[in-house]
Amino acid sequence: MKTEQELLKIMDHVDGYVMKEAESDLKEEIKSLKQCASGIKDLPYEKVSEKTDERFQKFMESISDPSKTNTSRGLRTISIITAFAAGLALFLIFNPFQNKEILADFNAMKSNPDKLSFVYELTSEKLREGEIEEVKLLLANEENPNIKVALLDLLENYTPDHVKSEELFLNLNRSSTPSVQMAMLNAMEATDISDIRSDLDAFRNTVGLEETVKNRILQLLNNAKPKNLK
Amino acid sequence: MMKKNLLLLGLFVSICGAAQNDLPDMSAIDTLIVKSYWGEVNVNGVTSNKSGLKAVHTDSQAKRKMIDNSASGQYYDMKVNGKTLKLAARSPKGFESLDFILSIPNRIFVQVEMMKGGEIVLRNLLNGVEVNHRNGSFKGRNIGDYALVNLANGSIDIEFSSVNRSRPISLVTMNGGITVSLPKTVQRDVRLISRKNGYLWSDFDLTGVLPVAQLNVRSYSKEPIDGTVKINGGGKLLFLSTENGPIEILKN
Repeated sequence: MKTEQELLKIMDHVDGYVMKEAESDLKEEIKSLKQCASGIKDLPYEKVSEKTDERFQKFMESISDPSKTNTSRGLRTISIITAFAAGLALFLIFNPFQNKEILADFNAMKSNPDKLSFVYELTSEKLREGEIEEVKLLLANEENPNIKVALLDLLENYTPDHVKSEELFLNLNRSSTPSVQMAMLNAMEATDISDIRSDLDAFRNTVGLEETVKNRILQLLNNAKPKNLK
Repeated sequence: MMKKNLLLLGLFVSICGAAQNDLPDMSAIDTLIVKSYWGEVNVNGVTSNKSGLKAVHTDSQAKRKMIDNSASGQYYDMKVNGKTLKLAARSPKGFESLDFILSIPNRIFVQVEMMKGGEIVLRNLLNGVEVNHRNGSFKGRNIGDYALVNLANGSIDIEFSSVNRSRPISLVTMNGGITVSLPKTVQRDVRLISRKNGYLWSDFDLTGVLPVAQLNVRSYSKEPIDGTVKINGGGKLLFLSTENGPIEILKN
């Protein structure tokens, strides 16, 4: 068995990198290898048989036609899944229509019962920031008191982080239905009302305001901490 | 006392005996909207297309008089817009009230708005009702389809003969109790809110987390009742909310 160093020496001689006389024990081997190499160079070019060529051609075609082999179908499925996953990831990250079309869907409804059902269905979902904003718009524009109370019941789930007392007060100021006013005040319970204390106090003097509503405002004011104690 | 009773009886007879005011042809009407300030609104559904209206005016001296067709325009306005009949009382002059007693086909959807106070009674109306009422109670009997009722000061007492399984029911009052009677097979998600002086009574089994320590005990609680339960596995919304009063859900 030749060592690695001896084999390297032989190859250097065969390749012509080393021209000097080789060690005596390698001479014969170098000579025979050189003859073999020159013999290979003199061999005629061999053409690939037609059968082999045909089989190779078929193999290449099967790669480009997914219906012919399981292997290629598998590869295609993987690539589709990968592409879909990548697309989905991009959609979730950059989707401009990320929010449900709450406003559009609601406004497309003509009957009050349909609108009320729609609002109730939203209570079973965790709404995103943009969706909560749309629900606030519904509250501002809706006229039916039963739907307004249901909207407030929904928004109460998002106080105080996403629904602020100032926003509720703006709606309170626009509403004249006592049960709706009470629902707004109830929703304010969990919010910080320190910035609207004086507005609430002034609202208590609204002409025609129900005693129950006035008392609820007073209760809120008494229960809330003054601003400097926040 | 006897004289007073006779006087009232005479008044009642004269009102009942008086001819009904004309309503337009009701065969083309599918919605009735009544707007009033003070007084009673009483609507009764009938199986035919027969209809009628009695309007009674009470002035600030408590003098009552029947309003006939020729004078009706002074007291109320009646208009047909497409398939909707709209009846609107005039703005009150001083302390006056106007009672509307209507008989209409029971297939007509009815919407009533009472801006000041009185009583609203609706009977035998099979295609739903919507009520917005300020001061006074609401009573509904043999109501079908659905109801949205909103009161400020007054109790709600409504009995459904049938309900539309794809439509919600919402009964909201600020001060007053809520009693609703439903067909025994009804399936609902029930949102229950009674902020104070409430109790919860139910003929139905309520599944889910009960918002009261004791069900079916008529003992007024200072603690708020706030929760969502299901009747017969759940379904469309039954929203029952009062700031002050009990909630009763009964089986027909």
